[in-house]
Order: sequence, then C-alpha cells, then structure tokens
Amino acid sequence: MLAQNYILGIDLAVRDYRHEWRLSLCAVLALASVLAPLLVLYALKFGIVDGIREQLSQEPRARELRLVGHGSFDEAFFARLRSWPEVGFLLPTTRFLAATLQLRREEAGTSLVTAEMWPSAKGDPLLGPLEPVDGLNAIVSRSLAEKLGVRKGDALRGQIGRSVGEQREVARISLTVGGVLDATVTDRDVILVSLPFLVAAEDWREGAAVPAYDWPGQPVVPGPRSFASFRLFAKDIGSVESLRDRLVEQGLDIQSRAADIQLVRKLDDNLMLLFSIVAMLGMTGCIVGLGMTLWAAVERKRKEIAVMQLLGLHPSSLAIFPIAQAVLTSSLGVAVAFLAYAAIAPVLNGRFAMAPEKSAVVAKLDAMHLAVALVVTVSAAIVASLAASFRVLRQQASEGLRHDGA
Amino acid sequence: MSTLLYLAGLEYRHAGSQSKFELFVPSFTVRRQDRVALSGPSGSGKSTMLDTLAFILKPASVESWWVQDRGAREDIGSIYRSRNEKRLLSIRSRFLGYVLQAGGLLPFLSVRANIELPRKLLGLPKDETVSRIAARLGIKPHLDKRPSQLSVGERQRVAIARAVAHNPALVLADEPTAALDHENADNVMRILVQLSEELDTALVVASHDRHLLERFGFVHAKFTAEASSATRPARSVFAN
Repeated sequence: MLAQNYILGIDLAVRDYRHEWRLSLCAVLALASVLAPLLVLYALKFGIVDGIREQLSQEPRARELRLVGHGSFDEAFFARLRSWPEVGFLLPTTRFLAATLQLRREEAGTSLVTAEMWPSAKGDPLLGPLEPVDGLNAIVSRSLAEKLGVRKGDALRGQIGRSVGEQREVARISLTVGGVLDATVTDRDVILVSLPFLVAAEDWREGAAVPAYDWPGQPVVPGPRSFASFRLFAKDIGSVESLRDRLVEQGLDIQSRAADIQLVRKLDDNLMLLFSIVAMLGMTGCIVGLGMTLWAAVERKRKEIAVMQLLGLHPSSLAIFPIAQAVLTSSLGVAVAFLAYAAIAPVLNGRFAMAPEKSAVVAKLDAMHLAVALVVTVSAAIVASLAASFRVLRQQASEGLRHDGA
Repeated sequence: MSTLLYLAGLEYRHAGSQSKFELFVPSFTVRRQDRVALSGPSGSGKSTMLDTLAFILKPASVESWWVQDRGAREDIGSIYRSRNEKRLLSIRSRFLGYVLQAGGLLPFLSVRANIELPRKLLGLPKDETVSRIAARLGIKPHLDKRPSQLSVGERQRVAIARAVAHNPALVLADEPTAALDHENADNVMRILVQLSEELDTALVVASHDRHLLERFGFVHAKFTAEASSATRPARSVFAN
C-alpha cells in the first residue's frame, strides 16, 4: 500500500511538473545556464592538461632519469633499484668514454662516423615498436642512419681503438642494423647495442681480451663488476618525481623532466582551484535558487497538497513531490548543459587547436566526467529540495484546504 | 438503519495568535443514508467539524468515537491515542469522500485522472465506474479536459464524482454550492442527494444555506454558540 502510495506520489509530481512546463523549463534553463559554462571550463582544463600530459607520456625520454657524471654501481645497487615500484626500465652502462664506436657501412667505402653506444634490451622505452637488440643486431638513431646511409637489414662495420703503450690497436666487428629509431627519440649519433657487447667494448678498451669476438689482450680479472652509470626510465610520468627524489636521497645527482611534469601538475592544480571556485559560486547560487523555487512551489500548492492528503496520500509520499521535481530539473539541466557543451566544444577545438595537422583536442570530457556532473548536480538538487520536502511533511491538510478558500 | 459513525464528548481547541476557539460535540451519530446538515453563521465551526470528522483535525479529547467501515468497527479514539497515522489515512481513504467548496480539483490532472485518483490509491480496478459516474453527472464529454477548461458548476460535479468514485460509506461536503448561482446550486445538490441514495451513502453537508438543505431533506444538527467566559473561550456546540 505504501509502495503504491510512493509510486503514485512520484507519478503526480511528474504530471504536475509537465503541467507547469513553463516554470519547469525556466528552472531547467537556469540550471543549464550555470552548468554549461562549468562543463566548458572543466572541459578546457581537462583538455589542456590532459593534452600536455599525453604529449609527455608519448615522449619516452620524459620518463628518463639521467645520472650527472659517473659513479660506481654494483649488482646489489641495480637489484635494489629494480625492486622499486617506480622503476620501469633499468640497464647499467659503462663509462661514456668507453662507450663509443666508429662505424661505416659494410659494402660502401663511406667515411667513419663516431657513435655513442647505449645499452638496450627488451622493454627499452626508446625502442617503441622496434624489435629489441639481440647479439650483434643493433638499432641506430635516425641521424646516424642518415650519415651512414643505412636502413634496417644493412650490415655495418664497427671498430674500437685502444692504445697499449706506444702501440695503437683496433678491434673490428660486424653488426646488423635491426632498426632505425624515430627521429624524435634523439638527434645524436647513437647505436643501441646489447649490454654484453658494451661491456666487451669497455673490457677491450681497458686492455683485456674479448674471446667472444676474437679480440686479443690480457685475460679479464674475475670478480664483481661495477658500472659507471645506468639508463633509467620511470614506470610512468607520475612516477618520475618520486623516483628522482629517491635517487637524490641516495646522494646521486639526477637530471630529469620532473620540473616539466611538476609544472603540468601545478597547472592542473591551479586550474582545478579556479574551476572549483567558479563551480562553487555558480552551483551554490543555482542550488539555493532551486531550493527556494521548490519551497515557493510548495507554499503555492498548499491547497493541492492538502487535497492529496485528504484523498489518502501518505505525507511521506507527498514529501517525495519536491524531491522528484528536483531530480527532474537537475537531470534535464545536466542534459541541456551537455547539449550546449557538445555544440560549443567543436568550435573551441577548431579555434584553439595549436597544430592544425594534429587532431589537437582542447575541450574534452569523458563519460565519467558527465556521470560525476550528473550525480553531483542531482545530489545537490535533492539536498536543496529537502527543505521544501520537510515543509510538505509539516503541512496540516486543514491549513492547506482553507488556504485560499478551497 | 445501521450506525456508520458515532462520537461522544469530543473537544477540539484552536489557539491561534489572534483568536481562541473551541468546538464541543456532546454526541453525534450518522446512520446509513442519513442526510445531516451542519448550519450556522460564518466562523461557527462548520468546517472545523467537517475536518474533525475527516480525521484531518485532531481533537483535544474524545470519550468515544467509532466508525463502521465495511462491516468492521474502527475505534478512532484508540487509533488517535496510539498515534497510528497510517491506519487513520487508510480508513479515511476508504470510508470517506470529501467535496470542497471550490471543487479542490488537482489542476495538473485531467478530469478522468482526478476522479480515478481515490480508486487508484485504494488499488481498485480500472473499470467502467468512472465513466458511469461521469455519465450520471453529465460530465462524460469533459473526461479528458483539464479542470481549468470547465465551468464552476462542472468542476463541482467533478468534485462530487471524485468523492463517490470509490463508493465511500460517508460523504462530507463543505459549502458545495457556495460558489454557484441558485439554479446550479439546486442542480448540484440534487445530483449529490440522488447519487448518495443510489450508492447507499450518508451525507454530512456544511452550508449556511439552511433553506436549500431543508428542501433536499437534510436534518440539521443542533448548533449552539456559547460566548466566552473568564475560564473558557467562545465555544461552538454541534450535536444530533
């Protein structure tokens, strides 16, 4: 019986809302006129910040943390670092001076080009879609590939020199180009090689023999090995700052894009603050206005409410009346505001797009944002309607019936 | 004829900011098919008496008050004392029909929906009852109109249709003809009386028009106005 009463109460509230469509429309438009600019403002904030963040996350070197200078890092250091949750990719590297290689194309007699050797392996963020380096398969930077005139599958001739006393010695090696890095990765002459090859090059430079490549010299002294540096990438953009902080705590001098990332975060925080202030002011006024309108409607409809009480509608089912109408106004207000936003967003995206060749989106909202806007607005409207609802609960049928001589 | 409503020793007190008023009902009985008139000058408490009978004004005290609702005797005094609002609401929606002075129709519902509302509240089936009553009252062509599209007389007939649509045992009417001219007042009262006879319903009507009520066979409840004294405010006494 009571459930039936509630359903009937909601049905009557909807019918009354439709009957007073002019007033309902005014309330919906008033709410939409506050919500639509808020949606546009939030979409701009989200679009701009998200755009920069996406740009950063698409740029793998934004996640890179570089050691300034050299150190001495053993296996225990690398094992500890690998266990940190912020770490996405880590490989030891040798001293910079030991990590160069002179290259030329195998078949043509091009001049030698000196390239930096960077160790690489599976999971290297710089590789992108390229196959990881393996054995003597190496990846070259775009700049190096252009200077050597090579492309994937071509053979390279490499040589590493050393001085033993007065004598100059050169080790030679044949490498295959496994791929060419995207030009955005680096503009330097770089060749990505496997870590064992890089270690072999360092050993050779220090006078040791490398039997694997038939390079002569002194036998390598067995024992724990330490590395001068490392290549390190954070798991994601959000982890760069904390990873940098942790390394600095270890006494390391680290270069990173943390400042850029921090700037984006600050921009996000400041825009969010701005949005929150505007939203709070606008929504407070609007919701208080809606609450007052609903209260006034209850005062105006005292007679109708009394008649419904007299006919047997339970007071609690009548108290739903303003709540149901608040839900209708807020839901329709959000819908109208979204339609206005949907009409404005393409214009903004067209006008504000920085790079016409890219599909740059300046104003952007997710389905989740709309769901949050709906839930927050409807909830606020329900809270605003509670005073009117309470007024209905307190109304005596007799006072309403004699309200205007019914 | 069986008794539908009996009350004794009922006191209602109104203490407003500007006036104090008391209603006292030593005894009041309504039997099946009774036509009881509550007459008196303005401010005599007719509407207060009706609202009390409709359980929308709570008495300060009552010695005995029961109604016979479809074979079951409901002790209203006990229900009030146990503050069982739901029970009162349920009895009111079944047992009573109420005609207001200006109709009291809900403007956002069609005429049909207004008449159907008490039946909906009781979960009664959607049958020919509404059409039949509307035809009997001459408002069938207006069933799909809004109350605002009707004349005052037509609205009053819709209000009567709504009051009897769920076949209540007792219909209360508060100045049902006050807003009508003589001819329309006669018509509306005639229809109300005829319907109450057809539906075996008792009528309690408050009106200042004693002659109209007498013409239609109403029996006046005895009304006495007692002036205020040092210990008590002005008091209206209704009894039959």
